[in-house]
Amino acid sequence: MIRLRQVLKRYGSTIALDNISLDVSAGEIFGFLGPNGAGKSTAINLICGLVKPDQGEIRVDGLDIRHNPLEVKRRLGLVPQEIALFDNLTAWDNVEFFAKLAGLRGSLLRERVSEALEFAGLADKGKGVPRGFSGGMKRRLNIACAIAHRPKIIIMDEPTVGIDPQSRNHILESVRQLNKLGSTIIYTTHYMEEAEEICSRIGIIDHGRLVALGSKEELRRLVNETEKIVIETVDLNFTCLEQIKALGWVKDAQTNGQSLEILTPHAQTILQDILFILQRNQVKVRNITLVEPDLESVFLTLTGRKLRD
Amino acid sequence: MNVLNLALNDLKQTAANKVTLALLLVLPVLMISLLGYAMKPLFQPEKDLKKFPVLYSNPDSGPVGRSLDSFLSSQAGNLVELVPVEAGTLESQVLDGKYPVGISVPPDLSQAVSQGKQTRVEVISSGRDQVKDKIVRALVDSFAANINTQTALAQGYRNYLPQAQASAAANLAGQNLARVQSSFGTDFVSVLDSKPALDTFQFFAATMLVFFLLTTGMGVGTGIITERTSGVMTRINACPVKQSEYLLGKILSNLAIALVQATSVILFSQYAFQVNWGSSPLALLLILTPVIFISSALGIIIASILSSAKALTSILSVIFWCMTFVSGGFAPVPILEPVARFTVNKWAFNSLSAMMAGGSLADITGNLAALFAVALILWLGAVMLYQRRVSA
Repeated sequence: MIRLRQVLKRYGSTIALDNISLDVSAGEIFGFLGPNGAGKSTAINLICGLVKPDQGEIRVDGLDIRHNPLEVKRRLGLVPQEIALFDNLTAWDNVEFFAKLAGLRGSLLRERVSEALEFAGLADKGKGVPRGFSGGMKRRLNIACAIAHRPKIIIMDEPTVGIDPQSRNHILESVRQLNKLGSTIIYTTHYMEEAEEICSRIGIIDHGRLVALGSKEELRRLVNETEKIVIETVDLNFTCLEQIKALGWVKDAQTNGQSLEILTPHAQTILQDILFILQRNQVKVRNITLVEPDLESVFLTLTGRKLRD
Repeated sequence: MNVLNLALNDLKQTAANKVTLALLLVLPVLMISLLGYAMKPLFQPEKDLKKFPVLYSNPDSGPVGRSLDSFLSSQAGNLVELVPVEAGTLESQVLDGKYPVGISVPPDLSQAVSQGKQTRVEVISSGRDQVKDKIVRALVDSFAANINTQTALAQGYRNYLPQAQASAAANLAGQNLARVQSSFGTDFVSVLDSKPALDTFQFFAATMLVFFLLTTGMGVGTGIITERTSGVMTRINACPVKQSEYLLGKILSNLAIALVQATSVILFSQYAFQVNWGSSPLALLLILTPVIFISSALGIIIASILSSAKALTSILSVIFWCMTFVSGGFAPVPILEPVARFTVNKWAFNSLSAMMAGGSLADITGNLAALFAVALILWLGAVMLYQRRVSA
């Protein structure tokens, strides 16, 4: 459905996307995972024809975007990272405007606008203006504007930034539903939980390079020699964190509330040393668990830094 | 179809903002009313006429030339103060606005009069003070009539003895007078504006209409910047819409808003102040259309350079206020006249005032050509800069 080959994009002397090649199949939910500034939005802008690549080829539904930009755009629905709405027009007018630009007219237009608002849970808010909406409602309207014309491909650029958990769950559920209805989804995020939850395949992107590509299981296998020790404590202090980081075999150690999370390829070997440090620093241990590496661990292993660095 | 959708969407947004809509319609008529009443005294002729300076070039040393010197400095000395000047610089000094009016005498005036040949004394006016113009014209006309009468009598009596019959002499003198009275006359030359003077409301209706039409470009510029920063432009560009369609949508909506504004100004000024806008709506449309195009092109140019809507509004405000001031749109500024002639406001104002004075399309072709040329150049620049910004 989407094919990128050796795509390179520069902004001045900065390489925003460095020779990326990938394929997204029809019916997939494909996730772009990476920290801010990694190149996710550039990749999306290229696929949408908003910027032109300096090198390489991009095909959408078999069409070369250089030669058929308008035809490609007819197949797409973009949910931008920003809440891109007309603040003083009604929700209905907003959805209707973008649906008209996509080519809908007459009774079909009204039917689809109504459907899109219903899908976004805003059926009763059609006459309301976005400036009076909550952040979550605006995000959902942002999605409704992109789906009224039932595009083959929906591209969502960090659609859950800055919203409450309820709206976030609604959006993630909407993504699954849209996918079930037949749309191919490209979903960018820097929340690894979201990528793990909904994406069938994930491309990890960092400094403009695609550092890994595959299903969640395939990505985890890349770092299956790494384990994560989670130690729940009562009175964790930070002096012990530095001492643990200094131990051999520790790839990373960080605190999460009163929990200590340590990434290491040799959990059994160093566990005793860690417990000794905790005891020396008078930290009481409540529980110790050994967990499978998640995408955060994968990203850390592949790039040497955390997703939210 | 996309162009229409984009334009209608812009109009919907304008209509949704009631305050902006009200300002758009009320502010111009308010300004015309305020300035019209406040500046009225400036446009009324002085009631107590004071002695005023008149540029005077008289290279004729013959009897008629000397007689004119004497007439203007003695009999007309309580009305005008002659400022001697070289013939070559007279017109430019009037043009610069230093003096309201000048008299230029040909070097062969005496010779031409004595030989009964055609000759003219020129009264050169800036067209700004009709009362002073008329006084100087009356003085020169009166002198010319006097000289013509004397010449006619002299020619008539030349062929008769002193004892000749008075009736025959008088009769012949009358015939001669009819023949010679057109030989020495006065030419009135207005170097700036030969049209009848506008009253205060006509003047401000025309200048404010141009000023407010120019300011509509700010709406185009701020619209583009707002849509760019809010991500709406990205979303529009991700739809099957060409860049040219986007820009055409903007110009179409601006054109519609500006024409509504212009119609309200024209109707209000006609009804409230009896401003006569001429008899050709087509000419008005032809004058106003390039002004609207110029304003929207400026809006797009500044929006392509800047990233802040506030900065755009400030810069365009300064440009439009300065241009209006320099062109004399808030009050005539004679000293800025040489610069004013190169402003969009002046070209548009001259065209509108020509139509108000009963002119036709033929009278405004020069100004229209200048307006359309500037509109074309600015639009080429606007499209180029916009494309560069979008693809950056």
